[in-house]
Amino acid sequence: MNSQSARSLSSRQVTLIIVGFTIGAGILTLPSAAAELMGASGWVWVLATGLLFTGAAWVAVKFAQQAPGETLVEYSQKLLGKPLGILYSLFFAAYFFSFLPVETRVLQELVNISLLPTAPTWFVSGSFIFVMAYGASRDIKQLAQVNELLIEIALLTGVFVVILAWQHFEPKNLMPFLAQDQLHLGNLKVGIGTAFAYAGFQSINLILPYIKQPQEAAKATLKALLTVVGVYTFFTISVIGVFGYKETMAIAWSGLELAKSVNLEAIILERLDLILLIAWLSAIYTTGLLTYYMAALTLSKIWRLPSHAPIVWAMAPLIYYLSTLLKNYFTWNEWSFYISLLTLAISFVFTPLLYLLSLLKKRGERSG
Amino acid sequence: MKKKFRQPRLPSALKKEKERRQKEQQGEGPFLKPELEANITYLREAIGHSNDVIFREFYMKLDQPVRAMLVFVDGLITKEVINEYILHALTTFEADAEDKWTREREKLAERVKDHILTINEVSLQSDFGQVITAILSGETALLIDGSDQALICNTRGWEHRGIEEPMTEAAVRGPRVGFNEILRSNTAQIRRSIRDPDLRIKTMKIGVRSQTDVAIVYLASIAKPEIVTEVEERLKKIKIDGLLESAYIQEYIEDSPGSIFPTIQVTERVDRVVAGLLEGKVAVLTDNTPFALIMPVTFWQLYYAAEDYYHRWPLAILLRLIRMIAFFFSLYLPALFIAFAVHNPELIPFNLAIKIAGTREGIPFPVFLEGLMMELAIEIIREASVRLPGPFGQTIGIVGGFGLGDAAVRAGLISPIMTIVVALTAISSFAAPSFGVAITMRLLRFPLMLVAQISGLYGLSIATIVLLIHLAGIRSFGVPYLSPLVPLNLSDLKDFLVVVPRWAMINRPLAYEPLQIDRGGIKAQTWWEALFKPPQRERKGGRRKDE
Repeated sequence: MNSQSARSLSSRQVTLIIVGFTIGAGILTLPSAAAELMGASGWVWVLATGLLFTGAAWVAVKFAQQAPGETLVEYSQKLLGKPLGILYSLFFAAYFFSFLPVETRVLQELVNISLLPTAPTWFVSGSFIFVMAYGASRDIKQLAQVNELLIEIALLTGVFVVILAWQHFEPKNLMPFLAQDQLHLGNLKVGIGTAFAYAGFQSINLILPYIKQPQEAAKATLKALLTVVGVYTFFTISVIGVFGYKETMAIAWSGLELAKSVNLEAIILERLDLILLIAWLSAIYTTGLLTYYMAALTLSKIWRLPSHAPIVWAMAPLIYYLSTLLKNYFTWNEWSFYISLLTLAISFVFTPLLYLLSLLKKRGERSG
Repeated sequence: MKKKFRQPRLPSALKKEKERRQKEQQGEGPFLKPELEANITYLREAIGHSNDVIFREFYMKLDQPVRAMLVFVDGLITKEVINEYILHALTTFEADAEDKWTREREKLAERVKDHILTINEVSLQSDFGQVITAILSGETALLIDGSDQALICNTRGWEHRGIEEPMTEAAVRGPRVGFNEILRSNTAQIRRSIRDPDLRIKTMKIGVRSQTDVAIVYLASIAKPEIVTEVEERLKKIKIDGLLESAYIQEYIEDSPGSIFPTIQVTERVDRVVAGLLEGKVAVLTDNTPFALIMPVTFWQLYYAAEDYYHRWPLAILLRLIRMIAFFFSLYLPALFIAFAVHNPELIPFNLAIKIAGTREGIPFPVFLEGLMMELAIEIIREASVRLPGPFGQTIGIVGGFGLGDAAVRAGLISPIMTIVVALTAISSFAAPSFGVAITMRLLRFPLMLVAQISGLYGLSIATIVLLIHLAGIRSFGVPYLSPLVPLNLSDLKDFLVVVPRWAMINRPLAYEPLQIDRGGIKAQTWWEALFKPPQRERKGGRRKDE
């Protein structure tokens, strides 16, 4: 465990871990949800909620920095008492774990509709879960390096393809700005569902003890969230600008459609959507890898195990089983809606409450 | 005569005898005795059974004639040195009659060394084990009656290969010298390149039976001390009977013995070792082999050639880029072709896809099998041409490559496009400057082809991620293997895909954590700052940083 508990992550790696965690399955459905909520001005929703989550991330970091040498598992037990603390940690682990079946299932669906139409689902899901487990059983230092490279490639390729698609961009698709008849903010389910795309910064509560300079964690987290918000907003503007909001609402995988619209004579590859898909495969992989690691790490900390690797491998069949339960688009949408609810609860209720509690306790200690 | 020489033992001699017995009991000995006869019997028993070990007896004309014996191994020594500077000097020396040489027996060996022998490197040794090792390494032992110490004279000299241009790492520009099989000559070549008192050359013997000399070479004021001690520690732990090549050491001390990626660089170029030392690395030289080991090393460095630094920087950048493309091709090209041809033909432009499909018409094998057969054929040709003597090797290459490929295409067994792919891959893998990493890529190519056949681009991406996780976990003596790319190190990127001009390489690579970071060049914090301060402008100030 010594090599693990050493402070080895640079601020840059922390930023990229949070970016890698956050950008995953959510980005593909975000534009259509935004278009549903605010029509042509859907990007405003993305930007606004993004900034809200940035605020929540700031609270989460501040809370984590109350105990820079401890993960949430240890600190929550100090704050809430042992039973409640363990319960909260278990809840946290379950939260991280809940991402995995969705990510696996979404990936399998996309691979099956585009890259490998004939491959059986068990092969695609199984191989993906295996590779996730292989990565997640390593220590955070190694994970951070893998994540660093993959998420950079994914982001650069993604942005590159989207910029190419701007040849079809029409500014009038983004007008009128905030028209009353296009606003459907009452559509709570869709609104809450977009929170799924912003989940990820909660991991700072677990990785803080591994960061070289914990005092810089706040800056790193904010950088990460702003990057994510920037990418999401840019992506939403591009999709709505190219397709118009009505079409965007109808498209299931807006990113892929965007890439399909690109025509490039000079390039040796005929279809850019598959390139985007491969880039995005690495983005979804980093999400899966990190959630997997965090869930296993939380559990191993609760049970005080010397290594998290056995938990990782023990989880694999369960993830596979759960992913087969997600039969279609609607079931996993349902599932991601519940994850969104959890995200909202953790970001805006539990973490701020715990932060307040820790502040009060510190004040109490100081006066007492 | 012998009787005369025996004198009553002095108390000091008795004490010495006692000490010797004690040491022998502790397992350090056995030690030489004052009686020549006993020593000779012991040596004859130990090494006298071989005919190449020569025992030469003679008398020295001191105040009394003193019996002495030379022991050496024929073929490992320089005969002139023994004849002229030992035998001649000892037998013709005439001592003054007043000078009582034989009276103080203990000092006799010391005095012979100081006054008679005209050999530059002489030492006194009293442990039989050490004496025997010295004799077997080509030194000459001089045993004098009455003295319990042997004089070890350096008379080494044997037939060896001269300094030649390295075969495995040829260069268009750069010094044409490589290492040879003689450790001393190799260390001397390094010494000639770095005239720095901080250059440390520490030798040790490895191999219970072979007693091979191994030298650790590093710059004490640059190399990170932890790395040096780590190398030393690992070397000390080697338990082996014979050490034939530095590959033995490599296997014992490398970080990831299970991995197919080499974590130690192997080279026979002197300049490469010197460049490594200047970056803060440690080199290990082994006797009897021209291949030196350099550690730590990063993955990318295996794709750098020594020559990259001898060309002007725009050309160097081009060379690096070409080599990186070659690396990509040698690993992925056949697999990508299979993935496109089998699973995703819609990805390649329509006309090209039609062409590929057209040439593949009537080919009786699946793409994977076709590729596998061709790759295997290429590997066999390569192996055969290495084993055959020089001119035949080329013939095999031409007959095998041209003939087989052309015939296979004409017979309709292989598609011409697959021939192009396989040939390009083979050529690309020759572009790797390091032999070790080229083999790794050859090995990895086959599983990737299989993965591509089964699961196309998806499988290739997944396999790449697995590879990446594996690579991210490798450390070479504490240095991350994928550095400077991950973890990103901006300063070290000056010598990565892009090679900045020499005067802008102000810092040594930070990955090896050198004790002294700047190379003693111009004053600048970073290489991009240095790029805007060309050397001419700086020289007007006339001062170097280290002055």
